[in-house]
Amino acid sequence: MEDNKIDFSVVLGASMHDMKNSLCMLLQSMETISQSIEHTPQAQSEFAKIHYEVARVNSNLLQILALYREHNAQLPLNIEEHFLDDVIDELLAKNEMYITNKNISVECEIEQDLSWFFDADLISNLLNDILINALKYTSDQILICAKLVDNSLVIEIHDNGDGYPESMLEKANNEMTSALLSQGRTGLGIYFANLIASAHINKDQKGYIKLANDGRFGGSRFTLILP
Amino acid sequence: MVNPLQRYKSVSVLILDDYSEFRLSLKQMVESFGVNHVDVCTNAEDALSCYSEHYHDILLVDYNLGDGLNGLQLLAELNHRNLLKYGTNYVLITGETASDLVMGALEYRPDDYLAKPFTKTTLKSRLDKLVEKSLAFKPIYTALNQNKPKTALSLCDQLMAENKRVGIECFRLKAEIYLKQLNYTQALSIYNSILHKRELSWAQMGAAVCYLALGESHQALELCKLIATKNPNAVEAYDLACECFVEQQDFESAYAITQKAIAHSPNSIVRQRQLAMLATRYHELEVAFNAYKRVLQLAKYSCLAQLDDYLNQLCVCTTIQLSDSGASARRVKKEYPNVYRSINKLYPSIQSQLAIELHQSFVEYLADKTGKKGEKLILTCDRVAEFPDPLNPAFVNMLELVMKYADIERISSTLDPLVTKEKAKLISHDDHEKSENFNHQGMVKYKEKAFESAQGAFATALANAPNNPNIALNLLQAAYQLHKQQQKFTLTKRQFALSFNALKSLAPHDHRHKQSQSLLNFAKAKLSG
Repeated sequence: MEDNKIDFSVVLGASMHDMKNSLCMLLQSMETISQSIEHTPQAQSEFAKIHYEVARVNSNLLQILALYREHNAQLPLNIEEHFLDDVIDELLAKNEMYITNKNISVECEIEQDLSWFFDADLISNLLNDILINALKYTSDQILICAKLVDNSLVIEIHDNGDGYPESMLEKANNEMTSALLSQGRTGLGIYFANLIASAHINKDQKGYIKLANDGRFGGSRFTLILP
Repeated sequence: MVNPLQRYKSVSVLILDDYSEFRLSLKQMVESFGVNHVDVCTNAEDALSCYSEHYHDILLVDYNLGDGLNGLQLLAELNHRNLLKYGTNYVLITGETASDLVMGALEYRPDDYLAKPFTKTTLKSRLDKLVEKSLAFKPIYTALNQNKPKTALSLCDQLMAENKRVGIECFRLKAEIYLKQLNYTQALSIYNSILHKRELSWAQMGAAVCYLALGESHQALELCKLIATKNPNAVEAYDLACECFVEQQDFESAYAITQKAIAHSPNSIVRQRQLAMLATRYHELEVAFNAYKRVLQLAKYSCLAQLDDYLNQLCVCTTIQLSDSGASARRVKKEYPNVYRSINKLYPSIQSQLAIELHQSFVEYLADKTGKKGEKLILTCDRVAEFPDPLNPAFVNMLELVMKYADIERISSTLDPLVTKEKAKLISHDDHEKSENFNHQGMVKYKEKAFESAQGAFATALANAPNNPNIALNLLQAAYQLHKQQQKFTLTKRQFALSFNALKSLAPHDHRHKQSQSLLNFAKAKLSG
């Protein structure tokens, strides 16, 4: 019967809720253990790895739900004013353990008191996914910039790794379709990023992303533009 | 700068989560920040009483709380009970992203959302910000808690000038203060200045509330539509749109949008009551019955239920009992003892006692019209007539019902003046002028043989004068002619029910009776076929 049909997004939501409780507990337990043991470099590095993987699992969960919602035209945005330094601070705090452990230097260039209107959850998820990726592929440097250009917010993440593979650059900047999904994890992340960016619409202007290999340190440059 | 650990020493926190391990882990986290006073609760009811005892500075509430209220409903409930103090930080913890929930929170908005999973560091940095903000806003909150809105408003201006990061927050607070003072013009100008900068849903909602209060329901409706287009889950916009439609006497649209809102979010007393009242208007008694039933179930958790909800449910049940002798009638009869019991427990007053007695003797009379039950009913009605205080609107509805179905002259003569007097006090939703206009418009279209337009006009006219048999006849006649002309039958079930009810009162010797019967039969055949 039609009435008994289960709304899959509800099921997905419910099981996500449960999985996230688990992730929460996992992180908590780790912190507790971390406080009670001796911190050898090896233990440190293992902890960093767990943190990193938890972040990835979480990021995946969020993306799946968001993609499903978008597919069913029910991806609502909660647009509010947010200060960029707050958003970026939280982003770095989330990944602090991994950054310290891998000795990556992260610089920020954010205009003072810069604020903009967007859905903080979705944009944080997007940036977190891009940052996780950058942390993985960079040699040792990352730069995050945020500024206003032509009445749009521009956020850039630069690294000094080998850059995006040619095939992805092409797909990401030209077709931005589900073909990206065939590019594996990073492809899904980029697809998701574009989806979230373009859901941000202000006065008929849509948000978008750009991928390039002209980063300030010679590696990749990810750009998010929000009107 | 205050020492970070000292900062939390005087802060009190209430944690509410139905998941025990998580509760514990949250407690450990906040204690490690230096908080001395932490209370934990497992359900919304306990949290309500715990908060009203201690007025914590920070509430950490999970959205999912199992049975009963969820995290957002608890926030609404705290507001409805006027419990929530200015300066209390309400943090909603969610398993999903906040956007899913926030659209249901345009009116009562949490101070922050925290998406699971989060680390201690994230929680700390969020709480740091909230505590800092509270510190900045403290003089304003104090003024508001002392009920000094003027001082609060000027303090807002002062703070905005000093700290540009809190600009929007100050605007928002100012608009809320004006709203509470019923100064809609000022509130509207603030919301509009925000909307000029950016189309934020809460500002659109605020502006819509102002427009409606200022009598510009069309403008309010436009904004509601904008909000709902951006987010189909924005039930609060539906609720407000419903109020706009009622204001415009467009009950059909009001009913439709309320049903839509209920489908999205059924656990609201106000919404279910609205549905029940509109369904009663359209004689969809099953819908009304179920909606009131839900209201009474939700009453367990909320202060928003009223005696009238219980009395109206008794009226709906009785009407069902009168119009059906089968399973539905048996089902509603079972409701009576429960409703009586709840009324006795929750609203012990002379009026409520009298209402129960009247209903009981009426139901007994209906079961046995021959015996002494009629006399008992007459005596109860006499006592109602002698009752000195004003009667609740739902009580008046019950009296009307008794008058209509108790075939006793003495009761009509006792109750009629009383009902007329009480009804005159209520603002009637029947708009005769509007009804006449539409009826006239319908007649013009009918003469032009534009039967479809005529039918539409008559339907609106009837909705505004639901007891007028002439308009009902016009409506049915137009539907009949349209069918003859184009083989098209567009009368809705609801329009049929309205017409049926309006024509029910025609006596068999009335010259319109025969025509009404044949038109009703025609429509009935078309609808069932």
